[in-house]
Amino acid sequence: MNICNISSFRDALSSPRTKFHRLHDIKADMESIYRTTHFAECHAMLNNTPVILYAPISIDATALLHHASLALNGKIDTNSTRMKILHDEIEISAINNSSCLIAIEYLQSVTTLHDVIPFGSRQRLLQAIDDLESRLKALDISHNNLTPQNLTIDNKGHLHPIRQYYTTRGFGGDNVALDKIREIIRSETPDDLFSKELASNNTVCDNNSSYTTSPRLRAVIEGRRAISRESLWGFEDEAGNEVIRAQYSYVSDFAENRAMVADNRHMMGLIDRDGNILIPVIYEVVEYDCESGNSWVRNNNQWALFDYNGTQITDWHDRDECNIEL
Amino acid sequence: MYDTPITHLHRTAFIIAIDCSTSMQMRIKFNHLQMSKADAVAIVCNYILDELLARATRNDKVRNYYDIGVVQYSGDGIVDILPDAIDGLTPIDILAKYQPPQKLYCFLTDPECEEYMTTIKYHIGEWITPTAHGRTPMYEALHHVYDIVEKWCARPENCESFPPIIFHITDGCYSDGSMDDILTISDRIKSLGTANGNVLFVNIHLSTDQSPTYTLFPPDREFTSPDRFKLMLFNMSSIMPKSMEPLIREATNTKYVGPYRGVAFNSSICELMMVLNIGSQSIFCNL
Repeated sequence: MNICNISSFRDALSSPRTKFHRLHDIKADMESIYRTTHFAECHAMLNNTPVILYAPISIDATALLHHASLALNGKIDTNSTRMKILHDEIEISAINNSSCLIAIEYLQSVTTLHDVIPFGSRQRLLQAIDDLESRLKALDISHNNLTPQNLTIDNKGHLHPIRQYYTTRGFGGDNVALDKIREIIRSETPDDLFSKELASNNTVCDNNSSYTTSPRLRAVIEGRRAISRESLWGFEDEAGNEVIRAQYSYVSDFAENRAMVADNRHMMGLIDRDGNILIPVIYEVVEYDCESGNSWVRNNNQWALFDYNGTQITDWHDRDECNIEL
Repeated sequence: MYDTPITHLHRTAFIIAIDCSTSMQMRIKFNHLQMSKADAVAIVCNYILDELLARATRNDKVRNYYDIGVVQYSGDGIVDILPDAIDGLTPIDILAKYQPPQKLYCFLTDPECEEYMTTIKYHIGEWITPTAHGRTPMYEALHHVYDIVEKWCARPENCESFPPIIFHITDGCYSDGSMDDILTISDRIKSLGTANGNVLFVNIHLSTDQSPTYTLFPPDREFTSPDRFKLMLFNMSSIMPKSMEPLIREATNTKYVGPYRGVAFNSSICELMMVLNIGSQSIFCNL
């Protein structure tokens, strides 16, 4: 059974037309690529439906998915998150024609319980947990990985489990987790705001909502991955060698061999992939546009345009006098 | 192998894939002159098109020896830019009807000694104009090239022809796929061919490296470079056929014996012309 790795998963998401067998129209949120023990996952949109994709990255992952699929088979209700296994979906190697499966979950909401706990109604959330427990009992399944991050909540207050790859037959496996979530709700929620917040926050299928508070990996872009050392940022190459020393308080990813950087004085500049400074790190704002290759640069509230090679090509002007689109 | 004469019944195909992404705005020294990589790409591509047209012309009549394709990739995606292209390719006699106005270029020669540099003037048709914007969808572009070549090779009338030659001009910096992906699709391209041989995939690297040395058809030995893009382009390129080795030795004055890789690093236009000569002039054109 073939398995994926996080790099090939990311690459497939970058070129879905050629790397996916069916999901050609998937639009991935590349910033959300995240690795767990057994899976690489990514939030995405498929035909205007928010989904999460799971690629197996360990030997056990495929078996887990099959077991979960069997446990969930036929045991869904209207509040279940539909999960589907797509066999031979990602092309791993075109040479030996190898591919691996992928699991997809179709989300009913992208807002997690974790997102709403700080402002939710304690009573309503506890009620939602009780309702979830009843449903799991009726379906006679255990999720085995219930956390506030692994439950989405819709604008009616219904909870939908996600990341269902540990699901097994038989109710009871989630008792400890459910009690723990209840405890979090009791200790962290204010009261009586829940219905008001959710009513005003029509978050079903809102792709702009925060998906997860899980730590995110910065992707390797153009052979460089942003890395952080003691709160300072630099870049490493694909082999993990530090090629640009961690010295900036902010770095963007590379785009066409250019990255914006800022130092601890919040002054900005532009560098290339070897760390050469094209625009010195002395300006209030540097906004690079990889389509044109130009950067708008602000200094003493005056703006000027710099070209791809870091040469200033206009005089300094007030913003009103420039056609700046930031 | 690689010996089928090119006739109107046994045509061959030339595909030029050009990188027109933002990074091609970088300044390089090309032919001892400072210019952007995009300018250099346009010069090389236009020269190749002019040269192929000249070679197909007999007694003022353009013979239908070649199918030509130019695939441009940039922020605008993948575009076949030659007119009247069918499956990405335009027959050269059709292309001749669109001959553009010519532009005068002055190049300096003799890199050995600047004191003795001479100026050579070329009139080159402006088939394409320099452009550089957006990302570098190289992986998708190579898939497109694969599709073009696969269709051409599958046509019964081409099954015994001299195999297609692909010139890929880039700085190597890609923004889609991984290096493995790009090497994989390159291998797939090289696996295509006709009964007369596999496709010849020649990569031309435009580097900001200012060193005066250039590499043209390096021997196919273990190749190392701190520049990973250079390494990738070396591995993407075809091993040139044995029948072309004498020409390569003569043109490059190399002390190394073959086989050689079809790749050019930091070459001037004069050297790139050699690439074209070696890639195509050794082919017999029968009337």
